[in-house]
Amino acid sequence: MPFYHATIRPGLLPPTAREGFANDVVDVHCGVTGAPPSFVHVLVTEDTDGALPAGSNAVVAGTIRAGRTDDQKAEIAERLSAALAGRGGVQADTVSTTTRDVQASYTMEGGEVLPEPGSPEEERWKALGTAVQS
Amino acid sequence: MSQFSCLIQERSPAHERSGDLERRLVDHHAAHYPGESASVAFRPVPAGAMFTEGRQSTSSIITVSVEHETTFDDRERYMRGVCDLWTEITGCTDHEIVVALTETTPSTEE
Repeated sequence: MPFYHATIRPGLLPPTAREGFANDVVDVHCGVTGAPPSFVHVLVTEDTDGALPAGSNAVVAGTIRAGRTDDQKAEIAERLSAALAGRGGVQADTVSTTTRDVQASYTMEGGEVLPEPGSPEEERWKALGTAVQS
Repeated sequence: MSQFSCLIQERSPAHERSGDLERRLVDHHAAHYPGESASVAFRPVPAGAMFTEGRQSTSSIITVSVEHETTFDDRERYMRGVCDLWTEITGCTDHEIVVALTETTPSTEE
């Protein structure tokens, strides 16, 4: 957690660009929230079912811990849409990003129940995530 | 019926041992909620599609919906059990598993 799922128009992103976008997500999410990078998961799939809305090149659906401010969520959405559009060479307004809040205590990762953002337990959890990186 | 949905990496130990994982997940659920069954679905992800920390992921993401309200301790025990069986069968670490639980209303359909 967080988990971001990008559904893209077939052919929009070659493999190297997908990895680049995954790094964009790490930079944006962690930059905005301060969360450890080691917990950021990104899935990129092509829309083979024609599920994307007309005129859309991609949609990004993020599942994040509840507790982020509306401004933080808006910044994440705007920057991720721009990043993916940039990687794909398309207009930013053809990519949309939304986030969905989930309560931290309903997720376990690294063998521990996730702490609420801003809680005293979060600092120890961040240190755990940093240790995983090294 | 409660449902497990497991996002796993293609050709990973989790993929190769999905049958064992399915049996153990069903057993784990029945042990936690006696008499209850659960369904398990796996979604293998090809290489180059999923990333953790910006690199090719080795993680599994297991979401489970249970038809119960849960307390913190109850959820922790349930999710801990999923992590334990997953690491035991696949040999992965706790850092390669995400377990997310949701509570749903019991179905009234026959």
